[in-house]
Amino acid sequence: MNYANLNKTIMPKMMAAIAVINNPEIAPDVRQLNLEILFREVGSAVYEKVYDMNAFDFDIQYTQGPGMDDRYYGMAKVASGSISTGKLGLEATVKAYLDNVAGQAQMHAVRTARETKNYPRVIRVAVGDTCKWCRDVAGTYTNPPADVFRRHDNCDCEIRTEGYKSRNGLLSNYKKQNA
Amino acid sequence: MATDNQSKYIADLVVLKTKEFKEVREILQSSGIVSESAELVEKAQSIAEITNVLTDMQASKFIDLLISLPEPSRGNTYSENRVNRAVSALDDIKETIGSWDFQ
Repeated sequence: MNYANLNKTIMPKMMAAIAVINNPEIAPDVRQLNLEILFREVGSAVYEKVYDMNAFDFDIQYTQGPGMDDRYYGMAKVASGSISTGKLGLEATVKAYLDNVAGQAQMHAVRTARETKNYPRVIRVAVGDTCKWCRDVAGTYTNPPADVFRRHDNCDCEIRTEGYKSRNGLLSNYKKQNA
Repeated sequence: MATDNQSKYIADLVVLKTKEFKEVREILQSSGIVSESAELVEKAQSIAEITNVLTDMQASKFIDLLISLPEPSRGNTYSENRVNRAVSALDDIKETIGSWDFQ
């Protein structure tokens, strides 16, 4: 499944939350601190959920990932400054941040699965007109390098991870498990 | 063209010295620093688009101008209403994430 599609469901809410925090009457460092909290909390929630879904697919539900990296600090600085530097490209940058977090979760789940002798498949597909960097990492992998899971701003490549349950039509059990 | 260091410094200074992007445009336009690129500045939607059309000399003058400006008066505390809205927005986002399922 292409987990980046799930981030589309929260993008309008993220931009609305950023607008609430980005009150121009509040000092920039205070805005930045509160945006750090927003990006950290949402990023962590995305990471945990995407890892959990992948873990279910790969039959490694008893595991946890090491967590996302700390790029939410830089995101908060960019977002808090955007009311003075201009909001052009901010939405794409926020989407890329969330998609990269999802990609990290997928990468960590694949690595954990491989350590337990499960070998999920990773398929990176370029969509439409695509830059050279993305064309170079497109392909099907069972031992993908880290770059396969990375994205730049406005990257619409699909990064699909497929494990035992994907291949055997057992994904519908996820909802029943979590009900 | 403005150097990378000048562009970054200008971006940091506008965050410190202005409350919104249209102020940046107004400050630059009224300064006379970029009279020949006035239309580009008028249409710019980000500080990066502005620094892309500045020469290093113009960027240097813009930096000096920004440094001379006083910081605007701003608060350090959000209103209770805004805090509640932010917390509610975050809870809503987390609930949506929690409901994600395979497609």
